[in-house]
Amino acid sequence: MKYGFFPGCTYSSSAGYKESTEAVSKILGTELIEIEDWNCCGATSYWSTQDIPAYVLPARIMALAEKQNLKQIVNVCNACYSTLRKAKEKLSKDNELLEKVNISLAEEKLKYSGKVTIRHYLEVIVNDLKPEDIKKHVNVDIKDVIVAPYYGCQLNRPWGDLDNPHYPTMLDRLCKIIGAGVLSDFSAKTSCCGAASIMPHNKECLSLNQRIVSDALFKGAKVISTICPLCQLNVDASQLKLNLTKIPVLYFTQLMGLAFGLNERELGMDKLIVPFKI
Amino acid sequence: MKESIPKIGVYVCHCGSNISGKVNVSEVVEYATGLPNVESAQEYKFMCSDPGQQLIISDVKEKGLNRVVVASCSPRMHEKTFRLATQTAGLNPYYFQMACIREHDSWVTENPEKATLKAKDLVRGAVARVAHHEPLTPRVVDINPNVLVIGGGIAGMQAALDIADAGKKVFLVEREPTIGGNMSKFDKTFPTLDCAACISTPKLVAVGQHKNIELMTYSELIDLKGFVGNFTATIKKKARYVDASKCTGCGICSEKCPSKKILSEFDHQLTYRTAIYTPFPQAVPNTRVIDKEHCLYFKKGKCKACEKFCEADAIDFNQKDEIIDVEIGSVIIATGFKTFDPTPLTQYGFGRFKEVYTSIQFERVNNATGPTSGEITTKDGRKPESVAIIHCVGSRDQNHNKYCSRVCCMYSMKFAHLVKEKTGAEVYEFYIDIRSPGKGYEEFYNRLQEEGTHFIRGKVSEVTDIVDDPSDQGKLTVVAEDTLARKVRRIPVDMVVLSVGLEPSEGMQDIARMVGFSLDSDGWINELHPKLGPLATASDGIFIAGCCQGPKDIPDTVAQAQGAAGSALSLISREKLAIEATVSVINPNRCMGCLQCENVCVYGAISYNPALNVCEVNEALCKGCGNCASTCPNKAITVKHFNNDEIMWEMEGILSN
Repeated sequence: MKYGFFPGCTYSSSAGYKESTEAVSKILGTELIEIEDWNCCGATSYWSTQDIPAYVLPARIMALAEKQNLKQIVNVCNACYSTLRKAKEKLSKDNELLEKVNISLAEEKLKYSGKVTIRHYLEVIVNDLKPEDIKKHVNVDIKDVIVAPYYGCQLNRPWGDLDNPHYPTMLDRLCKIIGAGVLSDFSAKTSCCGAASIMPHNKECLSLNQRIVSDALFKGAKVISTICPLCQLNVDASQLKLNLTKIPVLYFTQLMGLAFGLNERELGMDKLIVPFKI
Repeated sequence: MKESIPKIGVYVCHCGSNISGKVNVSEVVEYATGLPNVESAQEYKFMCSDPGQQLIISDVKEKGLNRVVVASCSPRMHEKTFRLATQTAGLNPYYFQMACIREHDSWVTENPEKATLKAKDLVRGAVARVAHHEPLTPRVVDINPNVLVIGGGIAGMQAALDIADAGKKVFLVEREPTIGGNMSKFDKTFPTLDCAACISTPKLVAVGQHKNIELMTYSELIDLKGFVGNFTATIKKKARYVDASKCTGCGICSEKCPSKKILSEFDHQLTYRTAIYTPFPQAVPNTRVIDKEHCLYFKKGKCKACEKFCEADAIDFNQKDEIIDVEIGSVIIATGFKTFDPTPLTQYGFGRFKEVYTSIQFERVNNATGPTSGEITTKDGRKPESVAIIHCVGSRDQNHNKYCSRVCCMYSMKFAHLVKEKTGAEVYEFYIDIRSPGKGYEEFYNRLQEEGTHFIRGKVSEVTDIVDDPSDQGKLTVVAEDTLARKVRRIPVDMVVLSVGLEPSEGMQDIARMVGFSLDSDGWINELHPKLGPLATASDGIFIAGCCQGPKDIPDTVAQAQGAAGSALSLISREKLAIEATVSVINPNRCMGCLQCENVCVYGAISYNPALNVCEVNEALCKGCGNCASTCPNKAITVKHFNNDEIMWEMEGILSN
């Protein structure tokens, strides 16, 4: 299966997201074709200014995908995913805005028509692949890796169409498919990590991360699994300042890679701040 | 019989200046005088007044008129008035025709000349039509004095008692094994804190013992046919597998029943019951019922422990469902409500955290016959130190029920009082707005504030087991933005009560279809008129009481029940009912039985007679709308008073200028 792929700005510098995503997608046969000449989506902070350029940025990514004949854009970042989806929704309802955005895009001979579908890689794996197509690649028993499945706040909100918006189970199901242990009562699944606010409001955001980490520890998790580079960084790095037992924070793709028999180096796990030891 | 030569009197009304302000009335009168068959034409300031009507009556007698035309307002306003005047004058009431020169003319025409011209056209049409009117006689039917009440909650019980006390027969049908409804699950009632059982149990007993009430519990309405005054209701009495005439209600069967782990519906899943059971100790009737789905004998073919131990020999595994017909003249729907299921609001953790209760569950916790015998304790038996009550769960919510359920603020405050009284715990009420309109309700709110209940204005974002202080481990944290203090609150508590709203009972769609009333977009029954017809439906003889019409508290429910009982009694006291003569008739010689008319009849008035291969009209149900007549491909259907002849003549009159 072929998908257009929007890596987003933090993809290659994050703690092994690129390595593990590439490795896992190769095994699963989900071919991720990177959109050529992509740009920053503007993330949620720029989006909130409601400036015309804040709409042009995501529209340009989608217009590029259209031009390159890619029908779907797969994201690995919750902020990218939600920004593209929000832009698509906004532009579908506001013709005047669409016109202005297209005037900007025309300078590069691009045109946004709204034909592409916006996806998240987690949801692609869970919805497009059959469980047995994932399971057949599992060759390492990781049942002792008890996972706290952490979704972050933006994947399914405000839409609520992928999963339950407050208590999703998509990642839980994937963990079970690959044979990992999974907490059935993790309460911080969709708690916010503070996102970019962790820079200006470090103290407040630390307490948010404390709740995520302490609930995972209290419920008996061995790792926290994330689906977003900013979530991963915040929950991982915050632990340096939290007076709690350390718990590694893995990308879901790294967890899959472990089950598929890849080694930690291949999955970029040496870049994790809290080291993975099991 | 048609009079041979029509002698028509025309009366043009001024309606104060409503008509005469635009229409030159005198000119219309003069014009009417010259129309064919018109014997006399006059004008009058208010034709609907007594002297106006008297004018018609004396003219008929003195001038020998045999047809009457009044040009005034809409027929919806005064057609009945003038028909009655025509009848009083000694003519058939249908020898009258109205020309609407107010709503259709003076009120909507700017130019006086055009308004006068239109008035002349309309009068000419009415004159042409009335000459061809046929005399009609309304049919009179007897009203069956028996009443069917559907639903045995407080509304149904009260309505049944009022009617039965007036000496009329009531059939009370209740789906559950006992009457009592939701009210019998409550502990106290707001704002007076009366014991709910103390005021409702006597009603249960009175209903059970009343000689005029035939109580059918564990029964459902499966069909209703007929029309106002003459309905036949078909009722299914589900097999209880216990002979009601023998069962003494001793309860030994339940004690011996080995299937003990069935979640209790009455206690809303907080306790277990046995397969042979009674919902609660004061149930009426006290006859046990075997739940076939969970009974070992029905599942596996052996057990019969209840039969072995029953001294009264009341167990009867061979009992069958029974279908019976009852004849009635009117129906009162009192099907009540069910509470909103908060499971979809995953952020509140209902079903995930064991100390999250719905309000109806918390009623049971408070009730002396409930799972904790009325003591407020956590499931592991601790006395709570703090309790959160979350208002508007599923109510006033664009994703769930948009409406306010009216009772939640008040019962939430009742809970706060009871928690304080019984445990001394801190109580936090998370609310959006406090709605306390009612006698003594606002005072109750003030009392609660004085008692030290914490009122926090803010919608709760989540209930979580994540606690900030390790010493709170085991508690639930309620998170909300306090919109008055402008800060986010995270309050650790031992128990959480979700104040869920009310929803229409299960199966309302089926009853609506069977009985013939409509439901609003939320599923509540549409009353006849939002202001002036709150007890009736658009179907004659079908009345409504209690929460089936919309959320309401006990006093309002009882008031509506007594009102509905009064409406039914008023209908019964008429004994006979005149049925409008303007109904459709099917000529059996022309009808081919194609059933197209049946398809378009919204009143269910047309049925097919297979023996004759023709369709037939039930005159009592027919409203004379004419859908069938215009649909019939064979012109077999005529609507009385709107037959082709009459309509063609009217058009001929209007267009012949």
